[in-house]
Amino acid sequence: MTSHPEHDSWRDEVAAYALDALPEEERSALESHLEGCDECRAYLRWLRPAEAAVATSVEQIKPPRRLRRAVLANAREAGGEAPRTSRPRPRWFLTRPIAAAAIVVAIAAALVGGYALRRSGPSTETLSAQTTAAAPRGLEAHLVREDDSGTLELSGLPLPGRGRVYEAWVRRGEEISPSTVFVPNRAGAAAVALPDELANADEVMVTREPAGGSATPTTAPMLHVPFPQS
Amino acid sequence: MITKMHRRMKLSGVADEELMLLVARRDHGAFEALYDRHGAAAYSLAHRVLGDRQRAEDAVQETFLSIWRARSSYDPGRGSVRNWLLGALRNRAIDAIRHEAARPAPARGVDPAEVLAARPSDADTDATVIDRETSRTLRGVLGGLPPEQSRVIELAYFGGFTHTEIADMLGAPVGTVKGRMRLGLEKIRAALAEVQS
Ligand SMILES: [Zn+2]
Repeated sequence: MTSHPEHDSWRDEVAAYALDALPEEERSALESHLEGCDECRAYLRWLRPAEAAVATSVEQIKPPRRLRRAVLANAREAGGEAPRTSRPRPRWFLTRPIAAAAIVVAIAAALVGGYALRRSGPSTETLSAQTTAAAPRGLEAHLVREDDSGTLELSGLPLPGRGRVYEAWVRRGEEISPSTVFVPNRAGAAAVALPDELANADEVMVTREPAGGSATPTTAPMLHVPFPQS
Repeated sequence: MITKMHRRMKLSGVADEELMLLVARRDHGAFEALYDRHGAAAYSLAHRVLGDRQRAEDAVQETFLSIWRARSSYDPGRGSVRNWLLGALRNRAIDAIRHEAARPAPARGVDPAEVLAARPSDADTDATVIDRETSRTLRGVLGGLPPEQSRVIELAYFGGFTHTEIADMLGAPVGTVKGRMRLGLEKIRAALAEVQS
């Protein structure tokens, strides 16, 4: 990609635009410029696959089957002829309140025991987090573990503040290893991937750290996710 | 059943762009194929942005419904169907959190029944396996960037923050933040050219 020097100043704008990171006024200014500038439009088109690569780089997780049913049912309701074979599966578990209640009680008991679910198929389980006195009010978290990987899901997490980030850690006995550095989205939620590093772990912890993350924790953990010892 | 299987086999050879033409003509089979090809990638992205499985499901449902109603129509100028669909989904998810950021997020406990219902399906389709490979390669590309570049890209794309908000958060000048975005994206773009050749 080559460019005339006078367009160089626009390139930073175009890159921020590709990431949807421009404030309103700057975005309108750039859009007007793009209308009359082939070169910047070409640069944006060239960058687009990079933006798509960011979208596709996230840890791939399997959607629940009910999502597929819901998506197809929405289309049928919105119009067009229904394909006969994609009728939803009978929802027997919802029409039998006693069985459903029994399942919920069983899970609630497991939750009290420190972890929520161990399902029958591949080893996926949801572990609940314990917050500490260092935790912001309203912080909730749980960890969905799949074999040696996992995703920590948090809500009620305020922005870490200027020059600060959150950092996840994996503890094995005395050894605490740094994992993912993250910040929540604007609504205070985060999904933090912990790839391939949970083997033999005792727990996952989260602390607040200087931007860039630390090699060892510098503040008290705000939450622990203890792993059941097998 | 035979008709349906026959139809599936026929659709399996159809390019995404042609699938979109069929979807525009309200072909339910094509719509189903569209979901089977891209639903998992869409859900994964929504989950990364929203940090919550239920809300990720909502965003995917809304995005696909909007495609079905032709409220969002495919624009080949934006790249492949997959890229266009993920872009539409990302914008919807970010809109949702930008809206919500105005008021405090309600604290949500873990509802066991919901966790049970939201567990992933057991079947690992071929499409998911391919996606996992691709996404791992791309994570490698992103992970290969200097951290100050990948951080600003992630904050913008997944967090929905503007460059001024990011500059404020990192204590860096606005020009530096935009420059890092550009350098990072250009490096990703160059790496893609290498991966694909
Ligand atoms: Zn220009």
